Amino acid sequence: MLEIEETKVWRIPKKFVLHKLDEEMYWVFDVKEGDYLELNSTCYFILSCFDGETPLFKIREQVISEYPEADPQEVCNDLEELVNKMVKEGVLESV
Amino acid sequence: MSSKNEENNIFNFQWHITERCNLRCTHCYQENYSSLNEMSFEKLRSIADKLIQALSKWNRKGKIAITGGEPFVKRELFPLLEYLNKSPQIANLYILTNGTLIDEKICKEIRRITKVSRVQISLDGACPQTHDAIRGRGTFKKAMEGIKLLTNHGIKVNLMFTLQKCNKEDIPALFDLAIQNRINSLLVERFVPCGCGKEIESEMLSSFELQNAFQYISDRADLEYDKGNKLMVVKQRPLWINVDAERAKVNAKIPIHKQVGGICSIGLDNLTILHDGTVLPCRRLNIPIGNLECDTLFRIWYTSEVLWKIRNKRNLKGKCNSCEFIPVCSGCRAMAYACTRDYLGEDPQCWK
Repeated sequence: MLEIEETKVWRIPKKFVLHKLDEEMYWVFDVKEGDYLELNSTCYFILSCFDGETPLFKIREQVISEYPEADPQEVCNDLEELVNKMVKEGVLESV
Repeated sequence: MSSKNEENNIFNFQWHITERCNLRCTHCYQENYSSLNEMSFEKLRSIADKLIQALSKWNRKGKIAITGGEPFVKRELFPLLEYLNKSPQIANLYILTNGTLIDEKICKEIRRITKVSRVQISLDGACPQTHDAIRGRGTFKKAMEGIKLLTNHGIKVNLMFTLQKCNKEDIPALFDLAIQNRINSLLVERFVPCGCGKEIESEMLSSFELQNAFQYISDRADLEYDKGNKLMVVKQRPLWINVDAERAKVNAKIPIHKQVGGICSIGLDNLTILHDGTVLPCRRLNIPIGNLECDTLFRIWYTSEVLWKIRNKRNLKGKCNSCEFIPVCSGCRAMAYACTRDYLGEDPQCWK
């Protein structure tokens, strides 16, 4: 697991593109190499928050606000897990 | 975008390697016939590499139809075919031609390219009067000579007939001609008024005329099949499902010769590449969605707004929107665009 700093800012590299089809199917596409990941709606929402300007702690607040019924601690854990996975896949890079 | 069976594991490219042509057909979808921006062999090979790379990444096999303009006017045709022939990602190669330039030497060259499984000849009439009125004087005779040469060399021939008001009466005789000349398959495509063809928009069949033509073709194809003739009549195209919904392609119990209906393949398993690398969703839907000289095929396929709008069948309008046959039809997007400038509009020739 990566040590994730709260104030760190992440972005999706230009070679990746997020796409959703009719609020039913979600992907992140690598338009250079052709790989892609299928996402669920939550992952899609979270990844779309990584705009290269908003720090991680702000994104966490956005996610908690978007899913008020979820346990905030669980949201934190899931967010950390997702960031770790996406960093490993190269879908997120630090600014 | 993943695939489950062999048929779904195919991706089709129609590659127009030149705009130059020795003919000037009245219904042509081109507007220009110049060699401007035409690619060298090195550039063609670079495009081929992009196609092969994409097929490899998607774990799909490619079927590539090389055409023009007239493909036999471009000297890089055979070097390109040879290059594609070597790739394990390529399943089949086709040449789409007007047939008028075919000679013994060309037939021998084609035979050398093992993956060229068929040559498609455009024949727009069953006699010189009809065909030549569309394609030019003497072209019927030359095309027929080309067909004979190909079949004599054991090369499978597909006939492509572009259906218009001026040639619809030739369909019965076209069947006779196809059978007499040992044609492998017959494809009747609707005339889409685009490019130079916009000038003859009145040649488009009415819905009623199209229904009658499709019904005849379907009945005649069944008759020939039942008689044991090997002619394959291609009916896996939009609107064909209207002929007989019980014989939908999805019904595996129906022999392929009798199946009807096919979804518009835009955004699913098909792309068109022009002579300068421009990519179109379909040759008759003239909306550029990228250029393979500067874009990756992945960027075009994954990010084109046009492709995504067409993939989402809920975007279809008019009677196509609520039609029960969407999975086996969805209408011809190019026809909708040519007639209404809205590629999501209903298919104007649908009679349902």
